[in-house]
Amino acid sequence: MTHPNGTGPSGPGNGPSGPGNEPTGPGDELGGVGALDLALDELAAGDLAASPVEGEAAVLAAVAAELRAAVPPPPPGAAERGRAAFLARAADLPVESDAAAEPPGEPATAELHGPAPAAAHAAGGRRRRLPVRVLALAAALVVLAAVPAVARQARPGTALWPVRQAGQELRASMADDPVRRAHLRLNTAAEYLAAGAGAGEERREDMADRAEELIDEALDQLKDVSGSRAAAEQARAERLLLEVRFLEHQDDPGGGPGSSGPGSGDDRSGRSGSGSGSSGGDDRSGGGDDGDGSGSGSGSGSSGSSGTGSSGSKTPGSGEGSSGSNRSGSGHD
Amino acid sequence: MIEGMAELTEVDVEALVRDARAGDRHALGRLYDTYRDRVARFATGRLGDAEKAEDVTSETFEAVCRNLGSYRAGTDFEAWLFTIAHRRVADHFRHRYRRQEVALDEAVPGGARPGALPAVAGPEEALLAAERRAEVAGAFRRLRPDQQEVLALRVLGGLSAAQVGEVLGKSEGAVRVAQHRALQSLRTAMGVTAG
Repeated sequence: MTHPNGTGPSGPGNGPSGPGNEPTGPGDELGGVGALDLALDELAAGDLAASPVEGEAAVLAAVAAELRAAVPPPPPGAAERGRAAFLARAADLPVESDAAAEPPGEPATAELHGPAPAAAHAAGGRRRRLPVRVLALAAALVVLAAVPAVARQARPGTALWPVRQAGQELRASMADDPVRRAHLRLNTAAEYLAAGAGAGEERREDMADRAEELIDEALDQLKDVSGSRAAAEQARAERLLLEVRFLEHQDDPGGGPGSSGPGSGDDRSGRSGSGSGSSGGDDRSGGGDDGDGSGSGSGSGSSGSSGTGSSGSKTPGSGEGSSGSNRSGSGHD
Repeated sequence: MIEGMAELTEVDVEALVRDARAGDRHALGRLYDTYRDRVARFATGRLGDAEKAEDVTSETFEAVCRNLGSYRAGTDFEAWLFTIAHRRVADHFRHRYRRQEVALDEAVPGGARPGALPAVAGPEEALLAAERRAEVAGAFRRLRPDQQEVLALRVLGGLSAAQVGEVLGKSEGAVRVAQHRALQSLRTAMGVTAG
């Protein structure tokens, strides 16, 4: 093999293991690095013989020249055929617009993945990208369908709760009558109360605040509406308000379990305040039948002292055995 | 300037790219003519298989065609082009690995093809030259992949050290040192091969 500088890597004095070619120290190596770089530039330009480098750099440049000779360019015929095929395909290939510009060295993302086998060449780039797009679309559809389904079970404070909340908000805003809207808000309020029960103080207060907000909104919806459904929702709102109060003072020394737990009271008063027997179990006011788990109607009856004007006294121990009917609630606050 | 495109300046390349983006088939053809051999050589060196290298070369130019819109004028077109080629080669390696086709010594680079042999005096010289090329190619394939990568871009692709750095995300100095060590390793490997 003829080397551009007249020396082969295995030639006399310049062989791979020949003496006198190894760098003797870091300085030599640094000098050799620079000289070799120059020689490689000359080699790339096709004129290694013009390179003035000597010593190890010249030997390594010759090695590079041998490597280059060992991997020759494709024969002209192949290049011609490739050119014709390329130009034929290029006519069908979409050229991306400037809007999709990316920095140099960072070709479009599609270029980083999904290389096409040779058989796919004829199909062109458009076809090669199609499965990726279809897959992406399918994945997006699955996510769109799955997230709301999973979110349906979400509880306040969980990752998917905002999704569920958004759905509930949407349903409430789309409801065509105020009673229905109030009903949905109360459902959500009940969720918050359930989430707050047994939680730490801070979370409990947070849940109570949110529930109260929703109950207020529900009461606002109901204030100009009459009829049995509205009355029932109003009663439910008031019971939930009592639960809110209880939740807020759960740890208070005077706080009792009056309104918590399943009860069987017969609450027919349906008005606020007044020790309405709170959350009586025999909840005839209904609501909560929409499958969303309105969760109302809890409360172990009584909380005693009906008709006192207080919003349900929370005397400890008053729950047991007093879950009977509270017919005296008069609704005066 | 690089072999095969000595007549093209950076300004010329920019103009060709601009025209090609506008749909000028002649400009596209000239870009292909200018860089095709270098890309094919680089791919052959990396893949050790002339047919697959042809595939990669075709894919690279198709990708260039599709993504010309993302090339920013004023930046290094060669580095951009070889980045695409470099990634195409990496894709092929990944596919090979998945298909468990990896056989590091499976092939001798394109030099073994009869049509690629340079003109020599006679059959004996031709045989010796082919053997030598096979030895060199075999030694090259025994280098570490990162060393093969640097040499393929620098020696076979004809990029400058700075351009290789751009493709591989290294500094120019790091590339210079890497190419120096890679060639030292290659020289050693060739010596071992030659016995």
